[in-house]
This record gives sequence, structure tokens and C-alpha cells, in this order.
Amino acid sequence: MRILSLLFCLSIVSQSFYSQGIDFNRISAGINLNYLISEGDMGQYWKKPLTVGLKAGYLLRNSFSLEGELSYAKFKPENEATNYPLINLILMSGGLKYNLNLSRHFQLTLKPGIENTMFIFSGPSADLIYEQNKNESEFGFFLSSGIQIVIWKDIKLELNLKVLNILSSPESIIFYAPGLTLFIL
Amino acid sequence: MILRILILSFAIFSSLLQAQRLTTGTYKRTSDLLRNYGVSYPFGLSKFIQNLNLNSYDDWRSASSVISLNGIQFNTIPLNYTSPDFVPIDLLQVDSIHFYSEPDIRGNNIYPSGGIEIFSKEIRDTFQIQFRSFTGSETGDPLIYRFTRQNISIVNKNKIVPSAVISVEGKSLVNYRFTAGYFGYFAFNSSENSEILSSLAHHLTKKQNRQILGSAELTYKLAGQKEISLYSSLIHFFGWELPPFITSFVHLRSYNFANRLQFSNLFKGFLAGVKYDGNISSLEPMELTPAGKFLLNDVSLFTSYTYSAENGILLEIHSEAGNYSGINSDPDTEFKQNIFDRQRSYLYYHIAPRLNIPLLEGFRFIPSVRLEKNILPVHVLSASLKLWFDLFQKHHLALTASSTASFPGIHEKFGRFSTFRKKHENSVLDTFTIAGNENLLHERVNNLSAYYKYANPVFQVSFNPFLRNVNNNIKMYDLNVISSYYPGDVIRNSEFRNEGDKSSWGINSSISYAFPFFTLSSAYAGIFTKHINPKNVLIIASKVSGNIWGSFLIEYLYSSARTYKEFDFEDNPGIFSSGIPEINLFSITYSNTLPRLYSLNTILLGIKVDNVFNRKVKFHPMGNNADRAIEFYLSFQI
Repeated sequence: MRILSLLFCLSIVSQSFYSQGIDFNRISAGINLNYLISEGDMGQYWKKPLTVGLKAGYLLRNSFSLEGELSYAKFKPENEATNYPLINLILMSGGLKYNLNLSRHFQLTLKPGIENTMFIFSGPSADLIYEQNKNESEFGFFLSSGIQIVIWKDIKLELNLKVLNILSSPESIIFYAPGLTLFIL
Repeated sequence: MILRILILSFAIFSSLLQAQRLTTGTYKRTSDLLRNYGVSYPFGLSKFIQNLNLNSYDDWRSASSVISLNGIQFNTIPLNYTSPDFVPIDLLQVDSIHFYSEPDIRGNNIYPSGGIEIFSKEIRDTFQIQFRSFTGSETGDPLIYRFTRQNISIVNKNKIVPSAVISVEGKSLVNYRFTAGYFGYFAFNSSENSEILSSLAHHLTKKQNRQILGSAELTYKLAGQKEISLYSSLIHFFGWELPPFITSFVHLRSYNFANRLQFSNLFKGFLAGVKYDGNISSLEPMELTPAGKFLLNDVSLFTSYTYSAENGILLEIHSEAGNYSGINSDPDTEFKQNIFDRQRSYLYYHIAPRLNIPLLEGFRFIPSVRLEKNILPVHVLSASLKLWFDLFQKHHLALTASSTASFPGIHEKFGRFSTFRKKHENSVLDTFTIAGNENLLHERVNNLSAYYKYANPVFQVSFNPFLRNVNNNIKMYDLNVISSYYPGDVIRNSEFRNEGDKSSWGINSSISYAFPFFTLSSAYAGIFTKHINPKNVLIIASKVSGNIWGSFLIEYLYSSARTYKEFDFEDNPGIFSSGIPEINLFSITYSNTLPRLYSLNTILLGIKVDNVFNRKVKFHPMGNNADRAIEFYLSFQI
């Protein structure tokens, strides 16, 4: 599933390459940091972590681009005594980004998309419950918006807020993720 | 699976199913199905409904729908389970699929209550590899709630594991095509059903359903359009199911095979062939259900002859003669049951002439007759009269009157299934049996219908009012139904009977409009008879296509509430509602085609979200809820 979802995003980018010819000037890439805030059980029983990741995009036409992201976060239990597991979270997302030019140096961004989140549980409680397979993946949708500032040539800084809804049960897990991305391409 | 699979998306399935029901003689190219629906394909419905019934007549009977493969009926369906899942062919092999919602006599087939015709495509002369794959997940894994909440279990409801099919075709001495596929999905392994499955067979509770397909097709072309072709295919099915004849959960292991050797144009317009189809099915031993194993065999000779006269009259004569048998094969256990008390076999044959007579320009008269002997020791006549008008090339009108016979299936006549249950924790085990009835008569479906269609390149509209009556309706008659001690379990003593007449009238309609980058289509089916439901089904679909952007398909399905009388029993503790509320479902599909990438051609990628708003709906009282699901699919050629 994860491989296919990644393949899917790549294929759309490939489609762009094929249709328009590969234009490396349209590629953007950078590193990003986000702070994951959650309500509900996730926010109550686990500490809020930072995520670190990579982001890459391809400008399709005008102000639209496809953008994918791969990032990682580690959730430690809020209270060691609860015996909740340690969670390694791997987030993979793909979305369609729209940039609105405010001025020569400022742009507003809006990006909806789909996200696959992989929860890797570790610790004694994970051993007890998930036995052999301690990975669980789930899809979700996100919407992010921000301001992009051109620092110098292709180097841009984006401040954004992302709202991610993971379609778990019996309740969705919702993350609010303020963060920044430094584009170096 | 192979035509099945899947699908977890039963929402779309159902919408597809209903859509087919809405239109008479709908014809869809496989490529359209793939492009529009990907894995959401009408196969795999069985997780949510019983038989693939195109007419809402009776979900529990085998003869309610008929499936044919390359023009010849595929009849070795186990346990009344008329599902394309058991037909050994995959989409990669398929050229076209025809759906009929009206009684009809077509070629060597008769469709008393509608049917599905599947045709495999011609094998190419050039070497080609085709591949398709799909995977999908239910959404709603418990994730962290498994730790923070009480009594939340891990589920894999409706999940499709990575599945793939590959076919290789080309020409050496003969044209050849070899196909192999694997399909995996979780059927009833859900929180709703996990308790009863665990009670019945704990060691099988977490097992995923799987299907494995292997197929070989060979064609040898001779001079003058003569051709010899062999179709040989096997599909293995393994998993939890709710076969209509059993009406409770069983773990089924089934092998279905189809072998067809066919000689075309031996002389002009004459085709002859041999069919050898079969099924070997095993019911896994469970705590309260004895193991069972049985074989079905169907061997026949068939012919078709077509003659075109100079005055435009077309004559077709179709015939088939064969032997059908069902027999027990003892399972490797002492705790066993006999699906058949002894070998049951019968000869069957038919002859079916059909004329197509042009009376005036654009006006044809099409009479069809079929005289046959089947499982009963009587000869029965079916007939269809059709008037077809083509007016100004855009208006089409058909008036049909037909009377078609439908015979009991071998299980309905000779089958038997027993299981044990207790009503309370401390009560003794009782035996519950579903029994065939050797005294069953054939039922007859009388039909009057009209079909009008207006079509121009961008706009199309059709109406199909019908009036239908079923005499000697064959039905599973419940003698006693209880909710057993095991939560979520309904079990019954039943036998098959002829139960009087049943009438219905209603209308099917459809409308579509094609804008340059946008199509909008809608279909509606209304049945205005008290005892048949759902009464109203509406589908609205819209597709937006662009070049680089790919295409979006948005679908909406509405189905009015329906009642399953089989679950309306005194002892029902309310676990299963006999009534299913109305259904409102939305789904979105995005797909994109890449014409060529290195050596790969026609790369199709898609993602689909079924049941976007995650509404809790069921299509069958004991089925899974159709939760939101996300699916991916990929196909290409080399």
C-alpha cells in the first residue's frame, strides 16, 4: 500500500515529465520542521514531538505544483508509568499546491492532499498487543496553508500550518502542525 | 475475480450493480470499466450481498441470475452462489461484458431473470505482456486507541492486500495467452463479525480470503476463417463466505475450472464445441458444522449455426446437449456431512432457433424459441417476441413479450446442509438443516416491456417500463429461524418450495450528456410493487477529464430502504435488523494515463475513495458495514 501510494505520486510527477519534458527548473526541494500538536488521546498520553523531513515539488503550470513530503517523528509517552508504547511515526504525503503571488518576495500557499501515516509501536505494551506486527498504517487527508518568502534566488522560506486528519477508529486523530520549510532548490 | 476481488469498495460495487440493473442490455467495454472504476468492479460483491441478482427478485436463489462465458453458460456454481468470483477469467482476458436485466433468450443461453455475458478477447499476433495490480485499505484502524481505550480489537475489515494479474500473449505456432493472478482480501474479518467467526472456527478467524487464477488460451487459425480455440482456466477460492444455500458463515475452499474446445466456421456460419466445466468445493470443519466436500461436473456438446438470406432475414439455430452431475467426496474427517445423499446426475439439452426479420426499413421482428429438457423429466418451451424500430437513426424503440422457464438448481433439488446450534448456554445442541426438494417444479417468468432510447453524439436518454410475473416461484421457505447462543448468529431450518406467483412492474431510465471535458449521467430504477425492494435506486455520476490533470469521477448512489424477510423472525434479538435503511453514498475516483514510459505502454494509475463521508451502511443484514476505503490501482502493457 505504501509503495503503491508513493508510486502513485511519482507517476503523476512522471506524467508531468513526460508531457512537458523534464525541466529541472521546475523542481523544488527543501527540508522542513513541524511541531505536531494533537488533541484527544494522542495529545493527552504522548508528548508533542518535532518532525523532520524532506519536501520535493514539481511546478506543473502557472501557480500549481505537485508536492510530496516524507518526514519522521518520535512520540514518547507523557507519563512513563502509563506503560504506553513509544511511537515512531513516518508520514508520507502528496498534494496539489497553489501559490498566490502577493508581491515579488511573498506568496500565499494552499495545499490539500492525502497522507499515509505509519505508526511503529515499540516497548513492552506493543509486544503484548501487536505481537508480531507492530506497524499500523492509515490514510488521512490534510490541508496546509502558509506564507512563502523569497530569500535569495531559489532559496525560499515557507511558514505554514498544516491540519492533518488521520482516519482512525473510533475517532480520527487530528494533528495541527505549525512549521517551516527551507527550499534550497 | 477474478473478476471479483475485491472490493472492498462495496459501495461502488453496489452502485455499479445497480447501474447495470437500471439499463437494459448495457454494454461496457472492459477498458471503460478499468478506466472508470479500476478495482471497483462488480466482482467482489459477495462480501456484502448474496447473489448477484439483477432483478431484486430473490437474493437467495441460484437461478436469479445466469453467467455465461464466451457464449456458453457457466453452471458449476457451488452452493447457489451465482458470483463472478467463481468464473475463471480475469479482466485482462476480457473483451466485453454484457449485462441483461430483462428475461431473454440469447444464443445458447437463457436468462429468466437477467444475466451476465463475459467474452474473452481475441489473442494478438504480436507479443504483449499485460499487468494490473491493486491494493486498498479500509480506513479505521484503531492505531493508538488499541492502547488507550478498552475492548477495541484489531480489524482488517474489507482490506485488499496487494494483488496482481499478469498475462502474456503472442503467436508462435498458435496464438497463445497465459494468465496468472493472485487476489487477497479480508471479507468478514471485522469487528461486527469477529465474535461469531471466532465462535465457529477460532483458528480461521483472522484468515484472509484469497483467489488464485491460472489460465491458458490457444487459438489455431486455419484457412477461410476456420479456427480452433481452446480455453482452459482454473480459479481457486479460499475464505469466509455466506453462500446463499447455507445462509450462514462457512469457510469455503473451492476450485472452479472451465475448459472449452471450440471449432469456428467448420463451414460458413457453423460453430461446434465441447464444454467441460467443474467445481470441487470443501467446507472447512468448524466447531458446530461438519466438514463437507462435493464435486459438480458439467460436460456438453454445443453448436450454433447462423444463416443470412439475401432478403435480409437472419436465422440462428443454437443447441446444446450435456450431462450435469453432483456427487459427494468424503472429506478427510469423521465429522462430515453429505451435501448430496448420492450421486445425482441428469441429462439436459435444448434447441433454440431465432429469426431476425426486417419488415420495413428500420423495423425488425425478432422471434426466439427454446425447447429444452433440464433437471426435470419434462420438456419445456420458452419464447420471446420482439419488435424493434429504428427511427431517423436517433430514436430506437423495442417492444418485448417473453415467457421463459427457470429450473431449480442441483442444490435446490437435491442438496442438503446441516449444522448444530444451541439456543441458550445450557440448552442441548439442535440440528438445523437446509434441504433441497425433489418435488420442485420449474418456475416461469412472463414479461412485457418496452424500451425507448434517443441518442445523438452528446445526449442520450432511455426509458424501460416493464411488467413481470413469476409463476411457481422457487423459494427457500423457512420452517424455523433462531438467533443462537452465539452472538451475531442466525440459523434456520429451511426447505425449497414452489410458492405461488409474484408480480412486479416498474421502470428503468437513464440520461447522459457529454460536454467537451465533462460528462454527466444519471440512472434511476423504480419498482412499484409492494413485496420487491429497494423501491427506488438513483445514481448520478460525473466525470471531468483533462490532459495532464487526468480524470475525476464523482459518483452518488441512493437506494431506498429495503427489507429482508429472512431476518424478520420472532426470535430476532435485534442484532440483525430485517430492514436496511436508505443508502446515500459518495465516491471519488482519480485516474491518470501515461501513454508511454520507457518500455511500458498505456500506464493507468488511479486512486479511489469509496464512501467518502464514511456512512455506516449495509447491503445485507449479516454483511460488513461499508466503511470508507481508499484504493490504488495500476496497470500497464509491455
